[in-house]
Amino acid sequence: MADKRRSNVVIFTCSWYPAIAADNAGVTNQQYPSDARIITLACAGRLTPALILDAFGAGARGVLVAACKTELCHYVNGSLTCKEIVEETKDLVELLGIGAKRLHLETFDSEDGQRFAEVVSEFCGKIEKLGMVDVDAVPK
Amino acid sequence: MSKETSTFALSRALPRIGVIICQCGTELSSALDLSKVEEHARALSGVVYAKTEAYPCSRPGIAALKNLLKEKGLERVVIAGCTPRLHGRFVAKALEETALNRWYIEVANIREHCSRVHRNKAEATEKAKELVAASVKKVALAEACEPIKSKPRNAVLVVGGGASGLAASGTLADLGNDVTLVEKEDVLGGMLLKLDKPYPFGKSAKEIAKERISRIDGRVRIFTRTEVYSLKGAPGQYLVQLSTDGKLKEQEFGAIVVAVGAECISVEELLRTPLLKGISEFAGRVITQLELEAETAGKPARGVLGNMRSVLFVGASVPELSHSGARLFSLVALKNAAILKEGNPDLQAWFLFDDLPSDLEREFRRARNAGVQFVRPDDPSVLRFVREGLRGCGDLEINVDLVVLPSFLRMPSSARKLAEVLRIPVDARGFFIQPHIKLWRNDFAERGIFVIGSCHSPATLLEASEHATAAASLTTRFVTSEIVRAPLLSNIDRKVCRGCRRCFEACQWDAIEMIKRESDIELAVVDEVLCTGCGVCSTVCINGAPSLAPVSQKQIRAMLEVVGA
Repeated sequence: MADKRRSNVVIFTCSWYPAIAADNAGVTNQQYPSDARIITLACAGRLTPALILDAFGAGARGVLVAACKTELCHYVNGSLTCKEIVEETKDLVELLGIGAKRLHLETFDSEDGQRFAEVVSEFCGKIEKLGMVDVDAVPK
Repeated sequence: MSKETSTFALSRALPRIGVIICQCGTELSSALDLSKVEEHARALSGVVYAKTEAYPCSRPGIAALKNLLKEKGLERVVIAGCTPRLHGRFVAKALEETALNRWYIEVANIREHCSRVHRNKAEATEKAKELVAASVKKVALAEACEPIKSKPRNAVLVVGGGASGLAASGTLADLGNDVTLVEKEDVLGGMLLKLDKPYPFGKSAKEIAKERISRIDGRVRIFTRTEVYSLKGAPGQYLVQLSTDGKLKEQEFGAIVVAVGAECISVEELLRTPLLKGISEFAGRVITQLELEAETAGKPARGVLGNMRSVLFVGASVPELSHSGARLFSLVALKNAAILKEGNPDLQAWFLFDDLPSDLEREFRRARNAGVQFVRPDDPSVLRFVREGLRGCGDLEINVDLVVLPSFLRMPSSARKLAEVLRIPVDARGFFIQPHIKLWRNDFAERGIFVIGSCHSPATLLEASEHATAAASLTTRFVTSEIVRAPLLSNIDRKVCRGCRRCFEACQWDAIEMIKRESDIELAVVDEVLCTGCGVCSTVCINGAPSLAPVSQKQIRAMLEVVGA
């Protein structure tokens, strides 16, 4: 089963604009790899390093974070917080041997359906090339 | 971590979960192998019932669901179908009527997030299975939560006593609200005091200001030389500190209307910009529309320009200098060109434009019939065209005594401070953004803060007045009805919190207090009124104590275990 899926990607989306962009991708029949799984959070600012690491721990090969455009954040500061957290976690992920390339943040507006599909496809392609997380490289 | 979750799940009896899979007519049943999804769902722990339905969101479908809930004794429900933003909402709402808590219902989006975006049926079916399984895990760990209800204070604060602020105060007072108007200057009126004859009222701006002030006189509390100093609290219960000449006073308001307007960039400053630098050597006089109106105000149009023979009006927005205000700039230039040319038929009037909004056709005709000559440069930059024309090195030699530039608007520096105090997001040019204008227009109602007039984007007097009236009616609806908020607030687990104060320091809304508990340890406690649910506390906590009340971190981890595997 695990081998069949080439790029197991978890997408964390904020429940505001990016979630609508994701819906929009569906409404307009965009296509992206089925290996991408969306988990909707109330706000991307709620995403903790622990959750990102949990995703990798569960077996994800890549984590894409979809936040709102900074100026459109419903909570004013959520998108900025998310940016900081993702930057911090990138260091952590690199340190753990998973590789910072496997974590990516992108911001979306509500009508970005097509872009959402493009970003996801591109990211999945990148992860597919990177292959599985090299478990031996991860320090015990 | 996974161990922890499983012990948690085992420590109490699993709730009875029902999974309803929607065929969406034939859409989902043709794109996915729903029988496999159903079979997979039935085998999940906790699931006592799984069924594929044709139209669960239809009226008979919902009635059947309600019966099913009772019949099978279901405690949690997962609906696999379209996005929760579509029909899922109706189903969830209907099921709530059966006394099932809102948070015991989960929608697995197997349409927009799955069948629609993946053409391979087998792969999409695999994904749908996982999405349903993740939702089942999530709903199994769900805790019931009640919405937060509060009664708003029926008092409205209007910030800014210009055209829109005065109009909003007037309408708000007419609708029977308790209104307080604050103005940072000595007198009310704002931009109205500087204009001559605004479009299309046929009255002078000063008369309009006088009318609007007398409309609110005695019915609205007015504080001049007053600014908003600080803001605390939640929609419906704002605690505002007003500063009058440095003296602070505190007042409570249910909602706030922000109408602080914008300021004009002075001509001296415009002449210092690269596009216009050194232009006065070639041109006669360069002024803005506002200065023109200040000069002509109250005088008959005839002979108002003295012995000037020709005038050039620039009626275009310049992206380098201004917010998109093409409508305002074109309208004002057209109006003033028409008035001047009608009053002085001998005057040669040029009108330079790049684009005219189609609804200004009538004003355009009026100016043209009066004899104004229209010029549309090929060059996208109108100002460069003006500069080259005046120097005599462009396509058209412009030889005029007077150049009238648009009154480009920008936000004064004091507005940035206000935006910070009220937590209104600003755009690249400092104008206040009305968030979610595309999602739902009255979203500011949710926060009880409305932004109107030129501080949102350069507005004509007519636009500002319409905006003010609309905002006044929305504000009234907001302060007179009960506010129901989803309980999406931070919840700090007392058993996990160690009182490290990280969240207390990180919270931008002052919603976390450190309260002494037993054995003298200070622990973080969330104030329900002030918390917006942004979640910053959960990101700074090293112990993982805070989580969103109805959607815990545990639930998200449980979902991750399914979809990450």
